[in-house]
Amino acid sequence: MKTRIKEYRAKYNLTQEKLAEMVGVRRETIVFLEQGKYNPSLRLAHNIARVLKTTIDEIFILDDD
Amino acid sequence: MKRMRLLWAVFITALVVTIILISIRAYYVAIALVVGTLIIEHRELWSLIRKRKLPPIDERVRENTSKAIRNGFIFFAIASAFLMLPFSVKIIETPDVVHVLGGLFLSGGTVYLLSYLFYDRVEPGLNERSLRVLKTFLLVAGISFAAGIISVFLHNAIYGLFIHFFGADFWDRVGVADEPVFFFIALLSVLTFAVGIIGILVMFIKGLFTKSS
Repeated sequence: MKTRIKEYRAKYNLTQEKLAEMVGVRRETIVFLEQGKYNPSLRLAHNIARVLKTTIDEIFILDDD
Repeated sequence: MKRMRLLWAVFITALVVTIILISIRAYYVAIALVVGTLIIEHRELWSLIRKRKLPPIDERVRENTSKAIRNGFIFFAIASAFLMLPFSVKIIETPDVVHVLGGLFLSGGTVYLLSYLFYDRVEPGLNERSLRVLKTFLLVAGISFAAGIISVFLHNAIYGLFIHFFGADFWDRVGVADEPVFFFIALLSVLTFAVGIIGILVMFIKGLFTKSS
């Protein structure tokens, strides 16, 4: 899974640490999400999308395979 | 506040258990317990020192913790069942219960710790190819360990069964025993096990120290 978290973070001038604090997770979780190495729960995906003022499918892009 | 109380509970329990372990002179278990607790809680401690607050226990941490607890428990159950064998048939007449239990808890804790580090740091730190290599080394180590254990039982079973069916002097009459075959298997098992363990360690350390940013 690919994500556009980094791009949106830059848009709103948020650090990984700040975003992590806003959605109630650890910074490492944001790191792994940005690298596509962790599949978040629907709740976390929803929280991230809400904080970044967009939709879940705009942020998380599922690979076809 | 609830998490702070939980952290205090973990440290107080660890302290009480450490004192008990020292009082029964199981020093190596006490040291392992203290080191293990510090390693497991290092993020919390570091965050408390730096920011004076605890990091959240998010879904990823909860997931990794439950998987690590599951692995530790499975290991503990299998190791306990395996240990019952020599004690029940009295291969070991007077077991040192404190050391046996200490070793069992220590190994279970180590499995928990390594599993947690694997899910939390190593797995995300390694790419797919490296993960495949790590899995291969795990298989090599596991198979050679199992082969070693099975060959010990097989060696004794073959030796005993041939004596049972063909008489006590069977091996003297034949002239050659099954020793060379099992010696070769034992040697091969030890060598492949060593290769597997070294490979696992290298990949584990590589994943552990891969910087994520």
